[in-house]
Amino acid sequence: MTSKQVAEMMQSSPADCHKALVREYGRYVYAIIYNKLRGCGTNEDIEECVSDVFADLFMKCQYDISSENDIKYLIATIAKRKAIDSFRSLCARANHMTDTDEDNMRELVSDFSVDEHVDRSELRRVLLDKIDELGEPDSTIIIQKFYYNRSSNEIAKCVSMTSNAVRVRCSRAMDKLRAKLVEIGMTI
Amino acid sequence: MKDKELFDILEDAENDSMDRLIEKCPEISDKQLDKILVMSERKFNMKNNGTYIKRTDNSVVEGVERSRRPAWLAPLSTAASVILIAGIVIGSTALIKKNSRKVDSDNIIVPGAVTATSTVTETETLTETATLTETATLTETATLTTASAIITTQPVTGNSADPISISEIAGKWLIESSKYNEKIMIKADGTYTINRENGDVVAGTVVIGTEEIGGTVHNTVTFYEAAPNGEFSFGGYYDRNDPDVITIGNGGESKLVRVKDDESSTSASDSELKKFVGKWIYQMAEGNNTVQENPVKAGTVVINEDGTYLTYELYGGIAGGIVKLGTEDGFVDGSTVPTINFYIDGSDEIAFGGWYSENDLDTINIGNGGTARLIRDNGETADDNAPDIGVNAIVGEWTYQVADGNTTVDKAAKDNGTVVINADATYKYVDADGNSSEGTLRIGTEDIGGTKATTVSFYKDTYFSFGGYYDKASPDTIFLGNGGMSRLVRK
Repeated sequence: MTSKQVAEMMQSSPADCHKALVREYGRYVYAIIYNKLRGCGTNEDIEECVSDVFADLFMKCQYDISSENDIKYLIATIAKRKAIDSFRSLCARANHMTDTDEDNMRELVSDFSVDEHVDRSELRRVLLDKIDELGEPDSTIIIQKFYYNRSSNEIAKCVSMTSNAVRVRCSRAMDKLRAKLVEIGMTI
Repeated sequence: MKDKELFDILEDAENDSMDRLIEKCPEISDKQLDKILVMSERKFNMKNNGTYIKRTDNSVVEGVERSRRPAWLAPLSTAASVILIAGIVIGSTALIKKNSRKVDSDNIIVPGAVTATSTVTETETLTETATLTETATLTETATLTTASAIITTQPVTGNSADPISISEIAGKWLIESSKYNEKIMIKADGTYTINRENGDVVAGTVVIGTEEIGGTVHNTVTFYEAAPNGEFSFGGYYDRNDPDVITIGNGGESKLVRVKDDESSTSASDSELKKFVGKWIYQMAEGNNTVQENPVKAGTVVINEDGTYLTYELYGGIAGGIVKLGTEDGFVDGSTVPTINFYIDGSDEIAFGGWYSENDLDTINIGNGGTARLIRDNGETADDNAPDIGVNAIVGEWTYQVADGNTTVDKAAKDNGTVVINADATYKYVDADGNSSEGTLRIGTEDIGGTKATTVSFYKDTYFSFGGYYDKASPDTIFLGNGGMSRLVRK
């Protein structure tokens, strides 16, 4: 959907435009927010953040955004920033009070390590490559089971299989993935 | 490592990994999307000052939002509220007592109001309100205003200022404030126009009046939007002792300064301009650094003696216009700095501009953020950091290749799309799935262990998208990143 199309829809019916945006990009925004808040937020926190993203997007749609650019990039930018805000807010809420002594204070200079960041990025890429090598539907089952924390029943509807079949495939696919990771020196 | 912990690695993914995760994201149910839509619209309406959008379907939000607050907060809030209410009551009483003096009607001189459109009844109403608050009078006048201006002068007894006429302030003024630096033209017919920096022209009406502050009457100049809105836009005070300034508001932060003979932008033939005649290199900041830290040549600018200029390669070709010198204040320390602006040929629009220091006439700082500058080309600066190739060297169609498997791209490569580089320094990238993105590219240099490497950076809007290194020794390859995992190969 381009910005121009959104602007035209906004002119005819803002409510319908909002609905269309949520239908079209709801899953996209959810995936971005989930990626950031997976480790620190609940499902409600994630939904809250997704709704914040769309509220911001609706505000922006009121102004002239009638360009030929795909609005997906604007949505992705808003989603990433909102996710980071929520992440900080949730972490701050969880760690509002801490006991710190002098020794620990020395370690608080910065927790960002370039080396670690690069390693993690490379590890992530390799892991996704290996999961892709499993082929479909195993790669989808594995990601939805262990990354998106979906139940076998939910995954079964998605991949048009029975939940028992999903469990079996998931178990076998995980074995294959472990073997592939061991081959390249990753131990799990 | 447990299975689920292994997948924690996927959190906080960068763009390419994120795209792969989005593909495998489970479908969101319609019920959940509706819930998100209702929550979003509620937040949107709250932000949008209660401008509700009526929906036909009855969406229901379920659930309980839990909040925790300390027990002592309630009594503390109550105590604070009581103190606040008591303060408001005492303050209001004091103000009412202070302003409850009766107006001596004998001392009121009926103002010689001149209106173009009002009836006699309306004029009387204005007179009565003028004795109480001048602001109220001005607002009332604006409501009555249609297309033409209403010029009223309202003498008041006591320390009255001599009423001014609109003709005294008619002419060109410069708005000087922290937000704007624009020109306003006040016309003798009581209207005004503002030429915004973005090219918009705003018009409206001007109302002259008086206001008593601490026993002294001041002349006011109030600017209203044009009909049909006619709302208050801004206003200020005019003092005949300082006839070239209209102070805006009360804080003294903004003012209108009369422009005499276009002194704010001297003509290009001014002798001062001759200091800048010659060839200049336009440098931009590379990546997230300032231009002082990591300059990259973006083009060349030649300033001629006749006050014109030409740019080469700056906008992908040759462009030109005229140069004007001026001054600008409003810097943090309140000082005034000399400015030099480059106007688009045949237009009042500034192509780019900046400021300079009398102590260093070989540098013109473009903008305020350290993102670009002009350096005089005396044959030395040209070129420690200048790249040894131009865009033309890499114009054409390139294949975007990534490493195939767990190796480097030179060992095993697979195609991941196409990049077309144009002579105007723009590019278009179409990936293997057919998704495309466009942007601009910059060629620069980077010092790696004492060796100068030529860099090619691809930007989407103002953001760095991807980039790499180009070596004239292998002219058909641009190596992307540092890890040897991807490259562009000339088709």
